[in-house]
Amino acid sequence: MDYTNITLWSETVAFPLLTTMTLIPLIAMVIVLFSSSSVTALRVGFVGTMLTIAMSIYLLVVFDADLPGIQLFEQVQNNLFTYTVGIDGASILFIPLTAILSLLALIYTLTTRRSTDRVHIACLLAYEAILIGAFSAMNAMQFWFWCVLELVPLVLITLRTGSGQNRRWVVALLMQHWGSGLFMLLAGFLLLGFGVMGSGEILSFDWLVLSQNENTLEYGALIFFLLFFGSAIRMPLFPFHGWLPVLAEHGSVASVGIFLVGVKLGIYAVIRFVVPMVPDIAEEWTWFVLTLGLIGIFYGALLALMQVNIRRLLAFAVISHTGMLVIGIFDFNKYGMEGSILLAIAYGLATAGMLFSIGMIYKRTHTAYISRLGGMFDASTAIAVLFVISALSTMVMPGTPGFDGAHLLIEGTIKGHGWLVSIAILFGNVLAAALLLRAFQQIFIAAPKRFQGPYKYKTSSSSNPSPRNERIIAAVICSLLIGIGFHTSPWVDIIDQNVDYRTELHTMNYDLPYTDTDDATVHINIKDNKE
Amino acid sequence: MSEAEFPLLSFIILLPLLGAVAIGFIRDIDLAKIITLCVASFVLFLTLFVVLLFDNSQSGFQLVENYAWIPSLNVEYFVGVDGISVLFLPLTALLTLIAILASWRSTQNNPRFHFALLLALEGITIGVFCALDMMLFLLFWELTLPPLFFLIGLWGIGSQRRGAAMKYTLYMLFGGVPLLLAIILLAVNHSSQVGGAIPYDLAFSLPVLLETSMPADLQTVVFLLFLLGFAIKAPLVPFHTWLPTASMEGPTHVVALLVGLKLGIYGILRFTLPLAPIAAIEFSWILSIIGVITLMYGALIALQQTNLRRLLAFSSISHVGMVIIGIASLNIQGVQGAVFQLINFTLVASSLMLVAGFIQSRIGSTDAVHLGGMAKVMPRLTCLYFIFALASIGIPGTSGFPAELLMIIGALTSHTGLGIAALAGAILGAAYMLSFTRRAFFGPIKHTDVAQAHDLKTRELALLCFPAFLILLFGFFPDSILNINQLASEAWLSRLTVP
Repeated sequence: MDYTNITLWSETVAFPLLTTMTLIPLIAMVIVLFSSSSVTALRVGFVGTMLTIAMSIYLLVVFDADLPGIQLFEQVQNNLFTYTVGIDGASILFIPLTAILSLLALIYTLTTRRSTDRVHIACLLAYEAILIGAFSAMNAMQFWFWCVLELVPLVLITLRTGSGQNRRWVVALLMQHWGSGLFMLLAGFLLLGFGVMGSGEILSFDWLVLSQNENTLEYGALIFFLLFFGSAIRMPLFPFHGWLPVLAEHGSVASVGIFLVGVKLGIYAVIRFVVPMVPDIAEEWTWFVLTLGLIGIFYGALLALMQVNIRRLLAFAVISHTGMLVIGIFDFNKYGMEGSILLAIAYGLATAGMLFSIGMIYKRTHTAYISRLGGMFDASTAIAVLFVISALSTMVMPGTPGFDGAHLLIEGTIKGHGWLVSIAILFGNVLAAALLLRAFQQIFIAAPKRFQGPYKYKTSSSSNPSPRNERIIAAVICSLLIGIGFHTSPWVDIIDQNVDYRTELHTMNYDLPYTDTDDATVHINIKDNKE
Repeated sequence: MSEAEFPLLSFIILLPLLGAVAIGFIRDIDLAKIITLCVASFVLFLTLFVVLLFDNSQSGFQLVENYAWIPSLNVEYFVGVDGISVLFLPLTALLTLIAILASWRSTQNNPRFHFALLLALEGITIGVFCALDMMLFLLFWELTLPPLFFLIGLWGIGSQRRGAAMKYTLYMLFGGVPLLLAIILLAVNHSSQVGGAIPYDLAFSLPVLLETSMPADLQTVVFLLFLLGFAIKAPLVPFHTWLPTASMEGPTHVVALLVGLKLGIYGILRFTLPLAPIAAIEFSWILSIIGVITLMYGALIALQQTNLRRLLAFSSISHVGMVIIGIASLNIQGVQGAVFQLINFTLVASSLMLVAGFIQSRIGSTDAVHLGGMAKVMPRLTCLYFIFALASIGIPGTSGFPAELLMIIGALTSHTGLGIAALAGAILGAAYMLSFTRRAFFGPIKHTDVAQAHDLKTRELALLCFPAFLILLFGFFPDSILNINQLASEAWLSRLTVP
């Protein structure tokens, strides 16, 4: 195995940081499940998530953005299986995002009736551990394993806290979609693993082995489509999106959604486990992915414009911006890739912000129908600010990380696919702005229809909305969005680390049309003539 | 280019934004208002200080501040002023101060948020005028939208205010798309011109991009993209429909800011023509034709209006057309006239809109059928209105006269037909202004609302006297403005002369 470009964990830190970060929430989860009182459970949950956040900050500190390659690499090899973890610029930012969203999800449970539910808290912790595990996994089978596990908290939370009547049906639908997606991923990884092994090496699913494969794969196109479609279901990309609006409408309002659409595991899967494995084939089929992405952008935006339920509206908005992220990856240049990763983080955070906002509104009003809402601005300024800042970030307003991400992505797309695609993406964005601003006006500014003035509670104190917790969630997400938006360069540098490394590692066509020698000479000639 | 010793411009941009944040934490409404007023006055003082510091004998950018912002993309925090932009700073500050005073008592609903937004808008608008990095410019440009979205949507006077806020925001977001594309094209072109690798040789700084040569076909694309983006904001026909809607539905002091601060034309003057000079010379006829159409169309529609606020919106569109003709004439008179007219119009259009707001708050309508005979009841208001109307027409003695004169001379020098069109537009301008004045201010009093209306209060009178004084000052001493932008205009033109 080629060990260049790899920094072992022992070179940077005193303990295996990534494994510890996966284990902390898992241990906290076990304690929560066995704790006797709900207060202890909640405390343990908070300690666990806070510790993970502290660890993820430490992770960002020790991560060296100037050093290319995989860092904090840990490997345990056995005859049967290998446990490999490591991070690079593509994955590192998702880990603090997961940690922060988990803490906020826990705070959010305080504003809902679920704060005494131990299983719910355990599910949130488990979800955090699974996502961190998936983002640090450097082995295809290990990644797949975490993806399968993701179903457990997802289904449990949906069944226990779902707000719709049909949640069993929703879970069945979810199992069908995700089941087929996971099956395709598994089949793809197996084909890939055995294809690589055909050259006489031992069977390995290690990311390094798979991505450094020089042999021609027999079923290359098949592998690409299995892997891509498998990830597309998780994203969800048009036309694999059927489960998301249904789940958004009938599942829990925010608890699951913030992980599902806030942490873009599907996009990450394409960046890590699909494109580097079969780069040539991926490039060959770019037109296909591009078509799906473009249709997705407009299909999602147009359907979102027609929704009367804010939860379904957000689901379609997610489908719309997923198309954009996928196009960024398939630009096959540095900018598109960087833009996609940054945008995936920004959209994730912003969508989570909007979901929290909707969840807290749902808690107050018990409805998600836009036509019944109104005047929420007066009811809670924090919720309104949270929604509007998140919406602005989603419509790539400058000053939010969305703008820098979109700017990079557009630059990449112009070089990768030309003007028309870039303009289409930007118009898709304006459509997103239209639907989000309209929803904002109808929910927050329009005169309240169902309730006169701010909604007052007369029931027991336990169901009172908690303005303090609402403000904490709003403050965290808004300050993160604006802070990253105005101070983007360290984050771009971190992402850059990975992309530079990729450029060296693969023979992917990173040459940009504008730097082509022919072009440059033509321009220089013009310059000379003038002089 | 001369560096600033003290980051004055950044301070001016930041101060109102900090003030806006501070107001968010102050519970006492009266205290918040007073803080708003103090911040706005201090900003006005500082911007006047900038004009004082400004050296007329230099043509380049002054008070420049340059810090790395996103080093990996060569995006800089780069601000500075030159003779074209320096005067917009005090005007923005003055206009914001006037808008704050005009809405002093009329904003009952959530006043702290309202004043915070006005202050934020002031800081961002000054940022637009100072930004010399294309990305920074786009940042400020797009950031003007959220405050305006809320100001129109929450405190508008029409029943369709939320729709108007939506319409405005969406139009502007659509306008942002071609701007972003054009800026990326410019940066990529710079990189390919120096023959460098893409990530390290992108350039977004305006002075650098001005020196970068560009192939003619690329210039055409950049020119058209910029023109499209700025035409929506300006607004030029056929992208003008947001302005009448906003002026009918929005709060008048905000609409005064909208029609007063001509960011779109500033963009055309500062970026569109100098960054694509070959295309600008080649396609200046397109610009002229669009200008003539906008001028005539705006004036003819204004002639049909019965409502003062809609009339002012179309009058503003018509004047934008005139300024475009001035710019497209590509000679010193035209350009100086255009800059002069922008300054003049900042004062005139916004003051007229404020007068319309005062009429609206007294009588409940600005429609001519509900007015009539106001001169008898409200002599002060009528008097001030008349000064502004005369300046809008371009009567000698007001600042409108040198502006229009210069532009018409410029247009005549470049093309006779263009000059005649500009003259005809000026005459139409007099027609619609005077005909509305006759219907609304003279004649018998028909309605009891009008008969019982109060004249301007001291606060309102005082705030209108500022612009009225400046209009007369600039009218009698036009050199005070022309001296400041003389060298900058010549430098601007020197980029656009046929080699």
